[in-house]
Amino acid sequence: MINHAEDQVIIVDSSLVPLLARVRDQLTTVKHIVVAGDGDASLLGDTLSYEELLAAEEPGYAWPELDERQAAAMCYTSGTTGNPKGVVYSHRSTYLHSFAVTSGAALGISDRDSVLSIVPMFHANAWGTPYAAFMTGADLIMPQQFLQAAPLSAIIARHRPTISAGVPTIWNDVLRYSRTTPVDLSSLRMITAGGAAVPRQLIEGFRDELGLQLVQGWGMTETSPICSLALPPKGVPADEEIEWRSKTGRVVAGVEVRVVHEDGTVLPNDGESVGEFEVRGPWITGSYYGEPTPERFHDGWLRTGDIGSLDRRGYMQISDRTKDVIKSGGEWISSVELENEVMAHPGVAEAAVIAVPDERWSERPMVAVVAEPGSTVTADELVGFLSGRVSRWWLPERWVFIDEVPKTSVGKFDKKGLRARYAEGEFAVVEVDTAAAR
Amino acid sequence: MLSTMQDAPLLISGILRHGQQVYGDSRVITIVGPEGQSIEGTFSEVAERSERLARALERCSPSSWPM
Repeated sequence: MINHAEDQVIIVDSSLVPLLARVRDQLTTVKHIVVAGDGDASLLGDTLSYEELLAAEEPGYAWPELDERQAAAMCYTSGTTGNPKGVVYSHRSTYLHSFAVTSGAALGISDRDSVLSIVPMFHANAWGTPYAAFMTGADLIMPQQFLQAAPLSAIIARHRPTISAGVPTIWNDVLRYSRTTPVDLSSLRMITAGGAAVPRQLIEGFRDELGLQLVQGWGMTETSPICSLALPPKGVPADEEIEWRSKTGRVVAGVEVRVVHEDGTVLPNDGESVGEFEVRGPWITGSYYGEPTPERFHDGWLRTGDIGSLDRRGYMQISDRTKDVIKSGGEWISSVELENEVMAHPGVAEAAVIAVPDERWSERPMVAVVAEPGSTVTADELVGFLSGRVSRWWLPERWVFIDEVPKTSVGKFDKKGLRARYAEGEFAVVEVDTAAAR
Repeated sequence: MLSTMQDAPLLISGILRHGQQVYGDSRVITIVGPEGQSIEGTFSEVAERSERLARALERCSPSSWPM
């Protein structure tokens, strides 16, 4: 990625020096490495010290009046499918996206807020929170590597943020931690989760056990990222709010969304027609850096790779990634929906569903389950639990119990890795006769 | 008909300067320990360090500015 982006200067924290040193010889474009922090940097050879560089300069700088369409930052997609691809944000796209993040239709940030950005800067610019803080005067709390449930709970109790943003996996850890250890999360008025589908029971858990609103957001590296947030429409009775909060989200101003059939026709926004989401707007990428990929775009719209429906009020409901959906006997099974139903069982901590080859149906779902500590839940029990919750033909025959669902660098379920391990025969698969449960 | 509005560029340096001037006392809190131990700097301090860094980068790599 460093070579692909043609980086000339790298600023690295001294804790990451050994990691960078492993690839130093392969870097063809880097002219300077600047090390921040006090650690030993000798592994990298010639480097500059961040603090010495700053100390040698005067304060004050006449920021150049650039063309707003010039590059301002760059991120690479994490590669849950295929190789990482570069997205180059402009000054203009970043500025407009930051306005959207601060608006009342999204996080509604002001100088009365303090924002704990659990999502790291390399994950789609920390969802715009650093820019949003400087626009509005909100305090910004950066947790660095202290991303586990215990330190996060301590950070929240001590620094009292009003808003926090992180991936659902981390919030799931915090909720489970709160069941065994007293926590004080009372300063938070809004928690946002995104980067992966947010299970309904996670939203319910935060609401019922901690009295906190967990708001699902949706976007991608390619979309800066904010496209939609699952805030309920006005006038919805309190007991129906969860139906709206469980959706993928309501599109924010500045972003256009449409649903497109496999044959390229645009489908109606009726909340039922299912196809691939395409998006367009001033903070949506129009290409990938140095990599022609016309198949990812359609008449100037970005093809998201997410499948779902859009209703007349602009609420999106994603049912799956195109790469993760299970194509079983000509019908689609949503891996995300199946995961949510399995995770609704109290004995299950996490569940990931992947498609595996099947002679009769071409593909069938396989569930990788992480049981709660002390739980003795079995595959037979889970099939029984799912009966009545999902269509009978969705009931998975193949189950595997694992210690942890592997995650990507940004905390998404690594389904590519799971599929590879299944193909290598690494899993002890339990087969269940689902006909008995029907 | 064209509008009469100005066409000032939307630049991230403008976001930085706004935070520096209007919210200079707001804080960036960096966590340095598992109990939430922290160091902090104000927006005006962070912005001043950004100015110093920009000067240093310009010196390291004068060709890096595209315009």
